[in-house]
Amino acid sequence: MRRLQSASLAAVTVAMLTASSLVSAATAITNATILTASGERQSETTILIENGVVQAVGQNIPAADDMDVIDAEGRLVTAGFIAASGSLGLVEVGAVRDSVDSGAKHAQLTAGFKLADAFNPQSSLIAIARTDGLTSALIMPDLRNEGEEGAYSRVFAGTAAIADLSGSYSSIRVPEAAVVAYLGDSGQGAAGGSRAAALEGLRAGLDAGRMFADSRDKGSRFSLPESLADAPFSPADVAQLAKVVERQLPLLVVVDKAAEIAQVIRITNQYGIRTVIMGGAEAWQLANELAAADIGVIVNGENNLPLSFDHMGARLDSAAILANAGVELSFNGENVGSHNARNIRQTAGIAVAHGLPWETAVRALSTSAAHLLGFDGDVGRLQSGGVADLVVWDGDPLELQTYPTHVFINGVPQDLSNRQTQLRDRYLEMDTPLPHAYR
Amino acid sequence: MWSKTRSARFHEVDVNKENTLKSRIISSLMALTLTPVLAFAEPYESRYQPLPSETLLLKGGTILTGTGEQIDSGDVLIKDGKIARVGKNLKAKGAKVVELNGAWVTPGIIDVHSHLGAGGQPRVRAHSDINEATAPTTPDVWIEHSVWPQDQGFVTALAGGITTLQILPGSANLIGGRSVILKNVPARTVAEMKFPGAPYGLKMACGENPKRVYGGKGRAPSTRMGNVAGYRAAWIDALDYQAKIDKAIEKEEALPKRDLAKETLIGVLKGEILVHNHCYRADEMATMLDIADEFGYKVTAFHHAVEAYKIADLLAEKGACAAVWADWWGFKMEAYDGIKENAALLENAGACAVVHSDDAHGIQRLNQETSKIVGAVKRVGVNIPKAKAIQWITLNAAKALGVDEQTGSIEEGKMADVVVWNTDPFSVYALAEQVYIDGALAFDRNDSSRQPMMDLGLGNGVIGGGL
Repeated sequence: MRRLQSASLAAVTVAMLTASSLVSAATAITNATILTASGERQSETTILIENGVVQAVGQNIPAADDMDVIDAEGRLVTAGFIAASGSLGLVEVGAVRDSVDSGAKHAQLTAGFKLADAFNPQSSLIAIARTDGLTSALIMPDLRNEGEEGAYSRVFAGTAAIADLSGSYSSIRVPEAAVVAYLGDSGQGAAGGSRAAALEGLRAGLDAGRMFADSRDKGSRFSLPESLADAPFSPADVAQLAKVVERQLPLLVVVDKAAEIAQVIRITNQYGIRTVIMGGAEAWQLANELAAADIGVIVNGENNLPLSFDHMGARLDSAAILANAGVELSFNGENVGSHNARNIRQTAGIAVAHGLPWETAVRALSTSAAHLLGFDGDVGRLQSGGVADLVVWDGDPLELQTYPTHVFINGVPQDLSNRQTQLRDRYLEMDTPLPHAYR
Repeated sequence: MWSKTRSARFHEVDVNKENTLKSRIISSLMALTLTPVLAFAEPYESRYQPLPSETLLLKGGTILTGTGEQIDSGDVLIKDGKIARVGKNLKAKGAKVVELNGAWVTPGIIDVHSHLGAGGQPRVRAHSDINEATAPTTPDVWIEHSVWPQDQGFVTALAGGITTLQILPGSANLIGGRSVILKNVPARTVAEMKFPGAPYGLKMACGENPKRVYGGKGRAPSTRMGNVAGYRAAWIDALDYQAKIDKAIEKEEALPKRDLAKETLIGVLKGEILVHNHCYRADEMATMLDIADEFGYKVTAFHHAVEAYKIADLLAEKGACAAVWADWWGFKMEAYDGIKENAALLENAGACAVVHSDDAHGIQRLNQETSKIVGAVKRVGVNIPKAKAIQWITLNAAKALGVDEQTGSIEEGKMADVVVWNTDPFSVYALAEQVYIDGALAFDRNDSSRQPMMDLGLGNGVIGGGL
């Protein structure tokens, strides 16, 4: 128990392992400062939580006698942040292949490769992310077909999921959140060596999805037409792609080069799909076009280097330019990924240093991330009726030295210790009577 | 430093006569110091010339001097490229006055671990010149012969306040070759960037990388014990070569043919070349310190040192710096135990902590990485003042590179390598506004004529200007 952050939390964090299966007590967070929908700060606010849901938010709301009361002491309380980066729960040690499940070399499955089944809520990465105020994460499939003979269908890596970061065995919130496609050098390689082939693969997949949906609607049997005979889409792939053309799922496209992004905008308009761009090093060049096509960008907020010929126009004020044009944003970054998903806060801060309004940056990590990932209303917004994923911050959440004092997921207060804080505590003193393994 | 170490070793000879191996090494080292065996002119010398500068008085800033002090409303006088004075209410006739209006001033930021230029942008295979992964010990290679000064990463690092950096060979090899220390000025040749008078470093690497690279080729090393056998064999070969030279001199015979690899290793044994040892795990660092003791050299700095906090006392005792990240962890097994507080726990134990990047993005924000560590350790009630923490990326880094007499702090007589920040550099919102190298304005965020752009950017849409 001495390793828990505070005694008051300790009382409610015992046996958190199956936290979300417990019925959470009603909680009142009092004396909070919140950001209103218009981005203004509102102090002296009370937030009532019960049954995993925010029951009320406002000033002059009394807490009932039987509620757990947490005095936020004027601190900022926001919706929990949503990482749209990496593959939390599907990777433990990057270079230890056996501990990584975020991609599969599979001749049959592309868009139909679904990650959610392999999600490990006990992964040490989850508590580490949570301690930094992240409460949900998009779980991204990797494109893993290096060395295989290129086939253009392979630009589709799979179907991303969304999980909460409570560590419970019911963490998967959205088993199918988006179909993920890779363009750029990854897509080029996967498609056999040309960006044209990769784009053709994207269109072929959407065509197949459309045909599948049409034949299903007509009650007729579906088979891939002659024109797509070379595309090894399995029935499971085609079924997922149908969800994209029917706008049930967004298409999340990992792409950086403006020329390719221009094609993605055309494809989006042509097929009438919902598209989100991830990476987007040169997306700022097409900011107005992206806004017009209602395409959001999960922007790499750290890259300003010509890492490849796809990144020539990378710049740190990308986010500011995109937001100014009305593009909805969220963040990932160079040093983010799975293990450091927590660094999305820093990445957003860097964007603020380069001109993005602070409120937009905070919204990008919560409301906008949720909206881009199809979570409208329920998650990522501190409002009555919303899922009670909340963070009490001890300072500006984008600042480097700020940490949560309290994190709630589904209304349940979370343990803010993790493997790293335990390692820290074990080795805080060098001179110990017994070896550190006894600590 | 060397003479002190040497006398200590002489003493050891007296008390440890029965230790024949040690005696043999030590007598060989005595020979090293007594005979000018490496009487070759220093090749590849620096052709660095400071950019034009003027006498400047930076007035009214919050100054973190790098010596552990913070001066509020302080001034810095820069003359002839050097720090002339630092303090309050300075006056200097004829100096151009720069009003800081409360902006923050730090020494130029130093990154002890970079591969810029050797793996330049764009990161295409044709630019991959970091690892000579064709043999496990390659002390004969010099990274400066891979450094392409046109890497745009130098420019973005400059915009992040980097004034000095060490470029190292990679970690594929047990002994990867010589490093080079650069002043971060745009130049046409690497010689024009070389830090005048800086010692060379020798890159060594522990752990997973060498054993994976060579084990994967079906040759040694494929285990950690194989790694250690490899280092020891290399030092034994170096001593053998030295003995041949000694003998030839003694008998007035022709010297053996020059051997670049062994010249570098002997340079380490003489204390002229500093060992920079990539090593993640605590137990392996301890083994590397034992190897250093066996052969009579010093590990100047462990790099990456993800588990340094587990042996902070040992590192303090041995005087080995640990250069670490703030938060990189888990990308491979030996990085699994990384914690944000690493550098802070080293500082607390009296060890030499350095924060490094190993990354073309991270190098642009070493101030932020430092801030993260300070913030993390506050959670356990340890408060490290900014004036102290800034040393992890300034004076301590300069010590690790052997250039702390010249740079790393804002002290009279030192190179005027100085950064002016728009706000507290420990804030995520801080940006380097002006970067001075040897008193010259090398970067100015508000003046496009002081924002260098590498050739690649021309006609290619690359964005400059600190963006």
